Amino acid sequence: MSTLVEVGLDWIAVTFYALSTCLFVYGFVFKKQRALKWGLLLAIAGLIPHSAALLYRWYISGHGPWMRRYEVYTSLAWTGLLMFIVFQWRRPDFRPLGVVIMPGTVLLVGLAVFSFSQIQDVPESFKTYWLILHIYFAKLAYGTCLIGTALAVIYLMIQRTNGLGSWLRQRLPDPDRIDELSYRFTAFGFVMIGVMIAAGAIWAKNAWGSYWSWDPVETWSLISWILYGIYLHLRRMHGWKGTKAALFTIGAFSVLIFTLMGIGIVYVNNHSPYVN
Amino acid sequence: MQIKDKLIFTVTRLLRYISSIKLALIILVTTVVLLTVGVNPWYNFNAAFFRSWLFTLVLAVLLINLVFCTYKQAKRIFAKPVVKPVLREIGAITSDTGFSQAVRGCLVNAGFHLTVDNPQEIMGYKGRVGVWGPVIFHLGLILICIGIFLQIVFSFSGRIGLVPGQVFTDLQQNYLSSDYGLWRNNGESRFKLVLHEVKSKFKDDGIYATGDISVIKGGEEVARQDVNAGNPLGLGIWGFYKDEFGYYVKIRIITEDKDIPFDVGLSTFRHENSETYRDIFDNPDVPYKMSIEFIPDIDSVRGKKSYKPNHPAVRLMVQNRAAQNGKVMFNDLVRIGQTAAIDKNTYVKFEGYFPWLTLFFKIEPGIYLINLGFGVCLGGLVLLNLLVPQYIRIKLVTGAEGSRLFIGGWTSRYQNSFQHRLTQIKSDLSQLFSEEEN
Repeated sequence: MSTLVEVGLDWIAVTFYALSTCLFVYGFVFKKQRALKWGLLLAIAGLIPHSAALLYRWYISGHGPWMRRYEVYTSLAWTGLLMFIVFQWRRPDFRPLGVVIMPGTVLLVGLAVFSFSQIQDVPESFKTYWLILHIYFAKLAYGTCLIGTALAVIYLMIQRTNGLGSWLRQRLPDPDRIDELSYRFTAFGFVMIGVMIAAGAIWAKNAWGSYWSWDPVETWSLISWILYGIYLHLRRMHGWKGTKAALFTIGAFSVLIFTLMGIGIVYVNNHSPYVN
Repeated sequence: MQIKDKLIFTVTRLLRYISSIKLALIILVTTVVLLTVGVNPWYNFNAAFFRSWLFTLVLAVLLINLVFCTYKQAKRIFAKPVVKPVLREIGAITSDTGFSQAVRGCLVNAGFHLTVDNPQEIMGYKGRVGVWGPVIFHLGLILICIGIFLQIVFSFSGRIGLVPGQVFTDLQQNYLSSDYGLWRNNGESRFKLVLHEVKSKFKDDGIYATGDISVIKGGEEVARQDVNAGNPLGLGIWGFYKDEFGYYVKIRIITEDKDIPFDVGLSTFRHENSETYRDIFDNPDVPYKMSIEFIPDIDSVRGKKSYKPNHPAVRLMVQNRAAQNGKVMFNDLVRIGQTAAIDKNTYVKFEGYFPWLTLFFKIEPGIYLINLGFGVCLGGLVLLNLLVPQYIRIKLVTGAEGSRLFIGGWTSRYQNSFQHRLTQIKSDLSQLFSEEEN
């Protein structure tokens, strides 16, 4: 019964998100502002069953969405989308960003539904505030870096000399401001990843007696963090801006995505029992 | 003299290179490459790769570069504490009455603290402390790196196996395994350890155990705590962490002429819980090869809160080692106290069980620096992100043709947003001045 409720709610959310994606793509390709607006409204509508599914899972499992692939994927998608909606509320002029965010959200929630698994109890060692901090900051890191990357993608599209580029230029703020906003989000993401790593290390220290054990998840998190660190140095000290910076952001985000979602598939490690 | 000059020139260039961002970027890229190689899924080098001299060398160069860069950064801030932004003209004004309270209000409302305030010039700043953000962040990284190096050189870790009531003496031979840092300190017998009790919590999904331990130093108990995963016992730079937990199962094999009692230690993985504990027992002193699984509660029903340690049992699979095909002689459950026949005139008895625990003992000379480094890093990151330093300057220049108004601003980050803000302030001021003139 519980499976039916969660999967049912998730499918409703996926349907809304898929429709939202279609409208965003339609609005983007055919340059229809109204379609973008409806796309956003459908995304907000989809967030309601998505939130309900997450809360229901939380209620029946007695713990937050941090065990197994299903919970990790669906909560990451939820955080990313919520941050996008909050960003839209503050900066409605960035609506075309949905064309980058929404397909990713559909894919992630879809993957979560297909990797649905029964509830796994939380081991005793997981019941610490440090771990909760670690997980929340991982989700915030994903959300902020997602928006930073989406802005970088939009920046690259604006640079195109075709009709789409000029349409975007008319509807979006100055490309330099998009570029800088992408930088701000990425810089904030760097902080989030840093706190995520530190909180995880402190938890590991208490649980396993070691801050760092070169587990693949730890190592890849460090790689992501250093990559974002390189980006910030290049940007501040070497004046990297525009296309180069945008491409670097996209590359670093791909590594972060692999860290947060792909490692459980490729490696067997300390995190495996909880993310597979 | 020429040689001396050359030497000074070379050293200066070297120092400049060591403290350069270029080197920092090279090291960071090298670190990323090494990390990717070390963690590749096809041939995972594991921790050994990250302890290699190559990796340690890269970290050492990174630390040196960090120290020099941070010093240079801090020096720059000390040398130039106040920034005087370059001015741009807003426009000419006819009435030269100086700055009104409304102009000051406009800047104060924008969040600026005014430092220079006279009829000809106003200067203000906000988020000035933010300039220190990168320095503090890098300082935190330096502290963490020094802490890591102290750990690499002076650390010690050892695994201690304990059963309730047992006293452990800190001697090399008493450790199950030990690992020294680069500098081997033989200062053993620093303490004695007593495991008073293994406290087991029976939950729906298995057993969680904690160990009530005392640390005795100089004949006195200096600490006592229930050690659990997530709740280690810390004594300054010493730390006692829970590792494995399990049971010794006491089994007896009885034949017509022999009575062989033996214990089998069965454990769960590290600190996690378990419902069953299993192992293969293959000891030459015992004529059988056995697969043993200890079940703390044979009547447990998982997920229905009926998990109690009242009915323990072992699942035994006994194989005849002498027989070539290792024929299975017995494969069944044996409850506590029960004797089961495994062959003609040969019996096996499950006599009892008792818990055991292993602890990690660690000496961590860098722990305080690492903890401090984490805190400092976090502080730096907060400053870096929340306080973006911004300076503003408004100047009235009076000449023969009348007064002209200038504005200038400076920030270290997010130039576009700041320029946008500056333009807003500029238009507010223009409006204000034109209103005042009218």
